[in-house]
Amino acid sequence: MKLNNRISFNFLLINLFILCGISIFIGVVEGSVFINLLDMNSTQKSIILLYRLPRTLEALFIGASLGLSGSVLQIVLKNPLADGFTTGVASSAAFGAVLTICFGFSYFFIPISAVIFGVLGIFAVIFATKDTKDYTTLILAGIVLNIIATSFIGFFKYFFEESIGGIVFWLMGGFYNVSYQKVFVVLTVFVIFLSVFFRLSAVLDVFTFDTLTSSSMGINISFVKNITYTLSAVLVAVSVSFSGIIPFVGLIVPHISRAVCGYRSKQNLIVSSLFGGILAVWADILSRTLMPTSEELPIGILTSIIGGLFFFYLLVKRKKAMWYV
Amino acid sequence: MCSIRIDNLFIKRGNFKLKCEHLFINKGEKVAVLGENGSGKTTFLLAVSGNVENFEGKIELFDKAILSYKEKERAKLISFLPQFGDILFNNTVFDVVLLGRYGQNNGIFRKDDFNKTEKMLSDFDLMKFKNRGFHELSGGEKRRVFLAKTMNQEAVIDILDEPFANMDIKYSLYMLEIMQKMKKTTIASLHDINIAMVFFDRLIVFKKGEIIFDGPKSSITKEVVDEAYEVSCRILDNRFMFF
Repeated sequence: MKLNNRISFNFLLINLFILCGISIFIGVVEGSVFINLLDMNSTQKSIILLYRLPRTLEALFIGASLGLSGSVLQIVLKNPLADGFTTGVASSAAFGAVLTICFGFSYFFIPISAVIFGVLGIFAVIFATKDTKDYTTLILAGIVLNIIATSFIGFFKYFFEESIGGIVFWLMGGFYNVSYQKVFVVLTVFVIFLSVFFRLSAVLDVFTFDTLTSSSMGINISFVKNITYTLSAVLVAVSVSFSGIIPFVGLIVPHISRAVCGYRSKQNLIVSSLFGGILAVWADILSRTLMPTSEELPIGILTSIIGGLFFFYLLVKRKKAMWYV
Repeated sequence: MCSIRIDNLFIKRGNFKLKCEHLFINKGEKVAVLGENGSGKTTFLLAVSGNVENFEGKIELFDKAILSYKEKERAKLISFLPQFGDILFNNTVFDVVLLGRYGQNNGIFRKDDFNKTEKMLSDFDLMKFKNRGFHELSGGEKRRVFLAKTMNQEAVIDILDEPFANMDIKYSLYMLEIMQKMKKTTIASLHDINIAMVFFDRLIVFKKGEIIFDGPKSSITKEVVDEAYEVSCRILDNRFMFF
């Protein structure tokens, strides 16, 4: 199942792009009402153009960002459990958002505050672990940060009951506050980070060797670690600031990607982004259509179920370890 | 020309102390580092490969302080094989060896890098594992892959910490012959003194963090070997027999 040569990777890529296109198409036509693209009235047209298309695109790019960040974080922290959630970034970013909601700042400041708090969280982890060479400690510090941030959110939720509706969005995630401006920002951020990480892909590959080997191969370990860790944390924080906490995409997608296309970072970054985007689009489609009423299911429930089941399927089918060392 | 120069080196790591007053390693020399377990071989190799940050004295690499080199510059001069090399994922053997060339090409792999990697794989008799996952190999095979990766870096000096650990005698000899042909400066720690006697020119023997012998292999004596390993050996056909 592992694809190593160029042709089969290109084949995989083409298939993923096709799948991506199909997913966007279904995301646009399917919803609380099915819309036939060839025969629309003006209301239906505006539902698609103003609502479903930007929403589906936002899901795609946010999912891609989360998959990308997870892929980088698992290498940088040398840990199969690393993602935006276990590094504590997602929760501290959500805490930043909740804080601004509770103190009644305008909506403009919410994403900014989310990014600032997410980055502060990552600096706290880097600072607390600066004297240790052990990578597991970083995850441990991240999980503790996650617990602290979640508890603070819980406190504010309890204290400011009236704004609870706004808070829930940040905790459960969702793509229902959309506009083309947002889509544009998310797309730009994703493209910038993808190209930066893509340029660093060989560095990331060298980073997967043990510390002594990789530093003698020509990379500055602590510089690479701090830079890539901070960058992927910023990416997670930006994603959270747009769509709230969406669990599981960053954790599971990189494993799926490595299982199907092998271990070259260059290929993994792209495939993780594509899988992340597709998973998020499908989770969004199901969240809009699964309930018989016009209610929406929280997106996190669906990303976890779809991603988790697919991951189990891969585990059973491969009958091989997903992680070494 | 002097590749590595050490002056009044003193390293303290926990309870262990390593001392080395003066030592030069010249271009093209093949140096074997010997001694019992915990005698300081690994610490010495880490120091001369620029992997020890706290030390007193001077370690110079091509007349410049070794720590003043950036990693990328250093990687062109020294390739280091640590005692326990490992990699996170189940990368293919080809990719592992290919990545050795990162120091030479800044991560942009071209046709030349692929060709050199193919050549290295066939030199090290690894072609049959080319597309196999690294973690599917045995300990000795993994070691051979890492050795090939280290050589593929094409640095000026190779520093190898127990390169033949877990490797069977056939491939150890095979690797040694390849290394002899390469005519590069090599510093390697070894457990088998007789391998050092045949394939290396100069021996450095450590005991409790100090050098008790440093010279051409022809001048090593039974007394030095007895002291180094705390055993009594005899010499037969220019080989040391321990039992």
